[in-house]
Amino acid sequence: MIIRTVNSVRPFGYTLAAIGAAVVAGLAYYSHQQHLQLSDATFVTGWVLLTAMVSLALFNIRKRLSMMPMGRAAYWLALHVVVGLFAVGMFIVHTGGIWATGFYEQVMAGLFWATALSGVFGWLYQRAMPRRLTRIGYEVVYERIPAEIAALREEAEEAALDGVGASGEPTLGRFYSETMEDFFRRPRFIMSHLLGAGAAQQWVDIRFRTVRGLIGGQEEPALARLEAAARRKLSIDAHYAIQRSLKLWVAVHVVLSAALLTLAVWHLILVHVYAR
Amino acid sequence: MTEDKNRFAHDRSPYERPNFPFRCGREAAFGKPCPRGPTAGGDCQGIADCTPFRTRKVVTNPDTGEETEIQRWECRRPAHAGGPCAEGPRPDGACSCSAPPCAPKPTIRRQRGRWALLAVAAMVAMALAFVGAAGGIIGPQPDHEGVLSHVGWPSSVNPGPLSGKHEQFTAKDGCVSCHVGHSDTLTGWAGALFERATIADACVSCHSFGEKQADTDSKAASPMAFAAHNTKFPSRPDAPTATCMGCHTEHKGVDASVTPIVDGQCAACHTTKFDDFAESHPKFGANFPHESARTIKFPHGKHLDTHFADPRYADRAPTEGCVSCHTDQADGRLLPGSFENGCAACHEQAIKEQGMAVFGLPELSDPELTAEARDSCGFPAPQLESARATLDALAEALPTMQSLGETAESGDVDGVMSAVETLNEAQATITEAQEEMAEAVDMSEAVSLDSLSPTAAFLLAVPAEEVDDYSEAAAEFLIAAAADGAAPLAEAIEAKGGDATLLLAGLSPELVTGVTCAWAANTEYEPKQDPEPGAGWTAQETQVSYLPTGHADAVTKGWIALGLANRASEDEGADAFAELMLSAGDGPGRCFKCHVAPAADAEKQAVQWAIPRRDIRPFTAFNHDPHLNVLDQGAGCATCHRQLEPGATLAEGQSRPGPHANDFKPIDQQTCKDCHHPGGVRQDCGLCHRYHSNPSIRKRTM
Amino acid sequence: MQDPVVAAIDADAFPGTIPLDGILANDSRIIHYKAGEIVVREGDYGNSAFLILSGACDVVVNPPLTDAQLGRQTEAPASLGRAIAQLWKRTVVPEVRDVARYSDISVTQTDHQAVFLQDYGVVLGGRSLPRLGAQQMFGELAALGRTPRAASVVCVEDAEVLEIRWQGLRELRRFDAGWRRQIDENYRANALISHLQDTPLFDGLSEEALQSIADATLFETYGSFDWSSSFQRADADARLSNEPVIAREGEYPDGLLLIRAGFGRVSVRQGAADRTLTYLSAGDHFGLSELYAGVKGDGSPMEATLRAVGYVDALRVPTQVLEEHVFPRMNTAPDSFLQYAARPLADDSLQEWAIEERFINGTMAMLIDLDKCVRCDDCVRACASTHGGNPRFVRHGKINDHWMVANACMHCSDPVCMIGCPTGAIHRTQAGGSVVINDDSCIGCGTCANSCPYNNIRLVEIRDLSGAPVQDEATGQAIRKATKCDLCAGIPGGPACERACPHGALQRVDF
Repeated sequence: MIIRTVNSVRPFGYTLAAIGAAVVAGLAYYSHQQHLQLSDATFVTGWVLLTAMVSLALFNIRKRLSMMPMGRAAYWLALHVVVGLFAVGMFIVHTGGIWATGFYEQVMAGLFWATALSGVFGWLYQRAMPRRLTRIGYEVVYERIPAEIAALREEAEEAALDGVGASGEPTLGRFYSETMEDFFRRPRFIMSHLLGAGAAQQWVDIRFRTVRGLIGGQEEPALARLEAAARRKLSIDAHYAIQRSLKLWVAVHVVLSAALLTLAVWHLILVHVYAR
Repeated sequence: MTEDKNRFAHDRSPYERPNFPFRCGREAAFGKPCPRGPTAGGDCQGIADCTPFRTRKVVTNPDTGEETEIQRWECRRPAHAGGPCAEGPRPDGACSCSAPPCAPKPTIRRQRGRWALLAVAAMVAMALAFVGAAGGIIGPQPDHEGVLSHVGWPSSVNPGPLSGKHEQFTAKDGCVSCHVGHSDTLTGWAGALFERATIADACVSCHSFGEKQADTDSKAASPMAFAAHNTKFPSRPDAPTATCMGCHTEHKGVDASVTPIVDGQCAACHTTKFDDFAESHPKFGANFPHESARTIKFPHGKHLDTHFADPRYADRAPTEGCVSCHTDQADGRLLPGSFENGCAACHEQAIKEQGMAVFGLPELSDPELTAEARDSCGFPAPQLESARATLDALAEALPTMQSLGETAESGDVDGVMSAVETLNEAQATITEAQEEMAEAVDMSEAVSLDSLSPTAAFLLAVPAEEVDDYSEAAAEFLIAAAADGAAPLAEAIEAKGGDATLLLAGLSPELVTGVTCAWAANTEYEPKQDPEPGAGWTAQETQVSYLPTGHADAVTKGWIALGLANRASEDEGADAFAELMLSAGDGPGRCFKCHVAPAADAEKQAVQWAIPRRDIRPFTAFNHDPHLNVLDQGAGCATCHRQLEPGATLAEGQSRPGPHANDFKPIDQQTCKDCHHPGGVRQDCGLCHRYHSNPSIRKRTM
Repeated sequence: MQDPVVAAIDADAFPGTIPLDGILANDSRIIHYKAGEIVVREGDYGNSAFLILSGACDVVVNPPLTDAQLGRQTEAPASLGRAIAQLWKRTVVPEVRDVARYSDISVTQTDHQAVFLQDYGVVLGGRSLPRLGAQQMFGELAALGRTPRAASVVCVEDAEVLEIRWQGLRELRRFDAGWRRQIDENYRANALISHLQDTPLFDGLSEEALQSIADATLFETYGSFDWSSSFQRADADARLSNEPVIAREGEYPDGLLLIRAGFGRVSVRQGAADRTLTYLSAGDHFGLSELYAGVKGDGSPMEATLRAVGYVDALRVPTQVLEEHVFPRMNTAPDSFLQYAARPLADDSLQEWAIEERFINGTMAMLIDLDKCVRCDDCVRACASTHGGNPRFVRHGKINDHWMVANACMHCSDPVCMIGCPTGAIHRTQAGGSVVINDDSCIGCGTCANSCPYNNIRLVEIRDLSGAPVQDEATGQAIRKATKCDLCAGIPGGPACERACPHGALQRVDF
């Protein structure tokens, strides 16, 4: 059985990108021609840029109005990506460079580039990270992670106590309270999970290998339970790290764009007051 | 437990609602969340797991028939939270699964919204805070000593620092200096949003471009109509309208160019469009750069090859090559220095010696006319002396003659003899005096010239050579001159349109009277001392002359101007006079050995004495400085300026206009292209060409 | 027992393990309906047949009862206004309901969950409807064939009705010739011809030919009617071997199998195991290529095994009838299932999974490509904003490779959730065929949620407009309502979740 992918948005995106590139090129040419004609097109390119930026922000509105028949968000995202890249082109055409001279314009340019770069980063990040999440081999809804961790902690604690109870030896109890309790307290090894490094797995491997050498057969099932919980914890931590990073990225992008749009409106008012 | 595949079944797990803005606070600390979770407003609802329900049951005692109501509290914990708890409610009906309330945490999404609002508020605050003192914070700030500096608050209005050229300029009025829309009040600002002001108006309130003052005040429709070189060329209706902002930019930084012109912008109007100087610039003129007529004839070849080669003058030869003389930088050109520093060493003396005879004393056809003149003069001095000697002798003899009767009556023979002797002596003295006097007025040998000077002939409008024709006018003039000195001469000059004050500057009336009377007395005027070269007005023998005081003598230039003014005149003697003034023979015309006289048919009959300091190509500028370090070793200036070989001549059209050929070869365009080509040195239009022909700052700005 | 129909059953024909008494005691009950009460609703799925012992009921056809009369949610056309209205319906409090509406519901607690047709006298008055009297049976076809009820039946006078569950009915049919004849005749008379007409294989056959096929066709059912309850308990690894075999590889076919309802698994022997090639659903047939080969040449054994996945209702068309009416019209050999065997063995994974997990049942399963999904929950938020602030699914579910089937209603072709709903609140819409719950008539019993093998129905504790939890005054129990995906009924543009996914990771698919 083959699961077909519904309407790929790629043709749409490519068409849009071609149109966007053509518009940028056209406006760049127009702007240059106007400059040569001793006139200037910054008002035209500025309005186009502002329109592009506002339509980028509309993506957020679309998400809020998802009950409305406003087309598939996948098309919107394609539009968002293409218009975003288009806006970068328009920014260069509009400003004639990549940086500004005045204080507030530098703040605005800084915000623009931060927004644009965070957008490009996010675009790539959102394409890379889902696979990483899938490869973890365990799926968990972000909101359930704390409860999962709490349950794992309970389970681990119980396993350690069972181990002590079954053998009368304090080894597992000590191991739990000295080392694992802190591990189960909250998500650990965030950066390692984020970067896909194996530090967390190695940490767990080494500790369990060491403790395995110190226990007897009666404690073995309890240690196995403890280890299973620890391994599940690794999966959940990885989910926590990556899902959280995906959410924080959007937050950064949204906050930057809100600031940018505010300054853009300010800029709009200024140029109309001070224009030639 | 976590391995239980069904633990998220509908009746075993809470319903996930990721759209809710708050999460349980215990959960945020990675503890076990309460089953109820927070409200949408962020309040904890999880103090108790459930709200126990009180059931009532009426039980009848089978023995007594007494009915009692039994109340029980039942747990109502929902299935997904684990169903009814083992402990059950407390006797008072409180849930036994209770915990202290938590502080619910907003989700990232919720926080994101707050941050975004904060960012918007921060931007608005920044914009408003830094605009608050907009007038003060834009551009450089005067410090407490009034000195402008760039230190100051950043501005939320200023799009960038003004260029160094303008940064001081807004110190007094701030933004309003250029932006009439700028206002300190919100309403003024709002109003400006919908008004279109023109910054160019502000530009031309300081800058002028050679236009007449009246033009700016009348404020033509386009302020640029007069401003630039497009007014020098035929206007094309299809040419774009130029405003200051079309080419000039501001607010791009202190060091930024305010004129970032690109070649393409020139092409907006210029019909000959090209983008590569080396490839497609129109050909230079065939005689480039010798495109203007010469004003000084300086034969470089003759001086360098002949004169300075002569051992007599070898010590005066230039020692530093071209720049020995070409010391004057103007418009990027290297002009020869002054006459004094260069030419004077050889040519000064000759100028001072080059006298100009204004008028001489002619012989007249009728001696009576001379006598009339003599009347005006009175006795000439030698005759007066003779007369005085006669009178002295008579006066000396008079007492003797008066006493002669008495002596005779007395019969004093000795006395008579003494008286006769005295009288004889007196007689001898008087005779001698009479002889001397007769000798002094000897008219048989006339002391006068046989013709009028060309100047005098022109001034009196009579033929110079015909005695009969000029005698009467000359006599009249001389009689008047004998009486009034220089006045008749001045009168004659004024009559010809000359400026007598300038032309006769330094001429004393005595000199004129003296010379005239000497002539009337038929004597030669004897100056007190011999005239030195450069002495100015002199009289010698029968001539009144002018010896230039030096180079660029104003009187001489005045006479030459008079000559030029009458060059085409039909008046009697005008030709000869003009010839005298302009031809490189004797007299003032000698100036034109080096200077260039205007052509006879030239519209403007004036001598261009000095080398014009302004280039005749107002939109082209060549700056020598940057080229000096690329000159060929040894060749120096000759890298570009190649002297003509002796005897060689230039092809038609390759030399300067006018009669005075050039002694340098034209500079070929290729010479420029050697360096100015793609990949080489700059070759943009603005490198050599200027847009504004005569930019200046208005006086009222100062 | 005194009823003539029941009395006519020959108790001796029943094996000792399944005595008639047991069947009647366990699988049937007597229900007293009042006049105006609805016994079965058109379109419902039911697991029982009804035998009228006394009284009379009307079969309401031409025109049928409306959704409103049946206590169903009225199907509203999708409109923009409804979408815009959601902007104001969103609340910060979960599961808010206008409780006042519920007072209209005519549900009363008797020996059964009774639903009355309001003003039945007026509604049905003057219409001459088919009337069912004592000893007449209805609902047996829907019960056995797992097909929707063909018509509504309303009691016009107080009636005593024997409800026989499908298990009992099946045993009765199996062991009692009279019942079998009766049921088969009913089916042959009422539904079979039209069913055959809908089968592409019989396109273009004359009515006489169809009639002769119908006359010869045999009825068979396999597997367990309520497979869903056993499915949730069963160990996935042992399922294939537990599935009843309908036709076995290597044996000789005696007729063409037409699937009428349920799903069949086609497998072949692969080494030491059975390899699933494909699955069959309603309208598919099995054995045609072997029969065709057998007719054209030598007898051909079955190439593959057909098993019932959960439950299969099949028709067996004997070979002779096919030889007579169908094969002469075929020019080329029909496709064999063996074509699927050419596929690489390892590529079976997804299909195997879909069959194992019974996702083949879904017509609108929510399939998420985890390699694209950034876990942003935009789909959940979109769902919530389309449903008054309440999400109607959980973005969690079973995973195979990078595919996840989330806990959202799949709108099954065999909707087991609908079996046993006492009020008919959960039903299939007439127009779209999606499965929806009428919130007004849902009594929160949880039958559907427990029946759903996929965990896609959630019971929620409702709150009134002021946000206070709604409780049953007598017991203090929270009033619950069953909720699930309704495919954004009434909202133009289709399911909001699919539209809201910015990465094209989420799609609603028909397995």
